[in-house]
Amino acid sequence: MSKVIVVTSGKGGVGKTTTSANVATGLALLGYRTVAIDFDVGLRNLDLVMGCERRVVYDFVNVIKKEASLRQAVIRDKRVENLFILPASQTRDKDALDVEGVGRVIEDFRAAQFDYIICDSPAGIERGALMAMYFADEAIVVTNPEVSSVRDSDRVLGLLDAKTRKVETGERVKTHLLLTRYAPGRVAKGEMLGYADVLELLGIPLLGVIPESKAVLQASNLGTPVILDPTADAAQAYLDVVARFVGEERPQRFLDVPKRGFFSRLFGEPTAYAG
Amino acid sequence: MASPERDPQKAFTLKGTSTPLTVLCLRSSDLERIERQLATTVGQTPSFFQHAPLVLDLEGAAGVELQGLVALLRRHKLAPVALRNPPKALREQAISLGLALLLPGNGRAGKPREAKVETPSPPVVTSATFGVTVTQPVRSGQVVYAPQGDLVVLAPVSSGAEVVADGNVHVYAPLRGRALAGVHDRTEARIFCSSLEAEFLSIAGHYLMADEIPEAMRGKAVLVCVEEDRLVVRRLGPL
Ligand SMILES: Nc1ncnc2c1ncn2[C@@H]1O[C@H](COP(=O)(O)OP(=O)(O)OP(=O)(O)O)[C@@H](O)[C@H]1O
Ligand SMILES: [Mg+2]
Repeated sequence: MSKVIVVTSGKGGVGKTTTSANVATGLALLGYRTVAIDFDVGLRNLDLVMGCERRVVYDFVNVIKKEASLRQAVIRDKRVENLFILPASQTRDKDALDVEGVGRVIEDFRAAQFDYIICDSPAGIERGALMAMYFADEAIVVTNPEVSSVRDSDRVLGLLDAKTRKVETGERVKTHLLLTRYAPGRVAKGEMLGYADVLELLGIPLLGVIPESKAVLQASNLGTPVILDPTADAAQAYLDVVARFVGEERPQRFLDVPKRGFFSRLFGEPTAYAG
Repeated sequence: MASPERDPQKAFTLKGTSTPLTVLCLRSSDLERIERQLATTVGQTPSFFQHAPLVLDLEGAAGVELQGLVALLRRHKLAPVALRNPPKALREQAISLGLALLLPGNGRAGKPREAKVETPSPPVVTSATFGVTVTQPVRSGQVVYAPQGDLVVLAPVSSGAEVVADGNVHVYAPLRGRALAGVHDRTEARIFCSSLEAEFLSIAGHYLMADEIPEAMRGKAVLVCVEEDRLVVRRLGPL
């Protein structure tokens, strides 16, 4: 049975594409047949982060419009077996996506025996984002430790409970929180929310914490997902995340921060801001 | 995905609503007196009354000549739609005049808004409804509304979310968003929550903004009620 996973956030630039690339790569490294679909029509980023931009001939929209077959459009990763990418179009807009077309593509991947279908959502809560979440079985909600990102994630969690096919059949999309770009030092100084505060505000299980890391930017520029360089801290974090996702228990790392409530800082201990 | 609205087989769908209605509570059956007062009242706020649907309550004017009353109201561009708690003698006539009958306990329209036309005697509403219970978090951007009754929420209400009830609002979890109770002018409505972190509190139009909520009540289990035309916040539980 294939699992459809949407990587979503509401807010832009929080690490959805980075997460899609790394989680897809990590699952494929474990031997799962995995495809990552770029729903960010008009921007096209996933192929860059995964280093296959020069091999894009046809894209997701071509398949939806039946201008190309799935076989023609899907790119097989050169480094990792079992890993595939369906790139987005750079020339169309998000209205090119429709429920019927997206549903057909997802069904074709299911029929082709993929274990995981990862949907990299665009930012926002408009059509593109709704299309990316509509067929999801599970959602990875990517959040940065700041108030606006948490608020947007909350919004998206509401949409996942209302605007998905699961809901129409009386089920719920299983949700996971992924806290990215986490900098414990800045949390300690009160410049960022701590993981405990984010968890309390969103109330969904924590899949993992990805530290703020220079290695991520370098990896994206090279077109090699950071998870392929196990010496990097962010790679370790993503390896943990993928292991937990397939059911392994691993203790949380990268969150060494004194526990202090957001509200106690806001209302109780004004001196804490001085850091 | 065929939602009932889109089903081409169906000519219509039925939807429950809780549209607020104005009630005209008569205290006199003298049509001339009624007309004089109508002319001044409607004259003051004509846009409010233009073709406004009206529920008639004849408790204080059982002997009124119904056909004449309806004609009079229509002349003043009001739209009488129903008779509330009609005396038996008037029921057939009401039906023949195209009015609906609102009997105690027969449904949603039985609890209309009390209007400013006349200050009515204490609200006649007795039909208790079961209210609405929500077990999942109410997330930012979502609104949950309990028409006619209480709203009970068993999970957190996020900042940016709104919980609204005609009756009381209960939140047995942190209340971080907006809560509005007694929205149809029920000043006896209350808001209860187990941790007050709200952005906005309102009962029957009285309200407190986030920065007006007493600091000492933050994060506490509280009840909020109207006293002397103001919202007050009190600790819940043993004092
Ligand atoms: N853990 C991290 N540490 C440092 N930088 C990161 C981390 N994760 C992501 N970034 C950087 O943040 C930027 C945005 O990341 P990414 O493109 O993955 O976000 P996104 O949510 O997909 O954005 P969009 O909403 O535009 O699609 C990139 O420059 C990326 O390299
Ligand atoms: Mg992206």
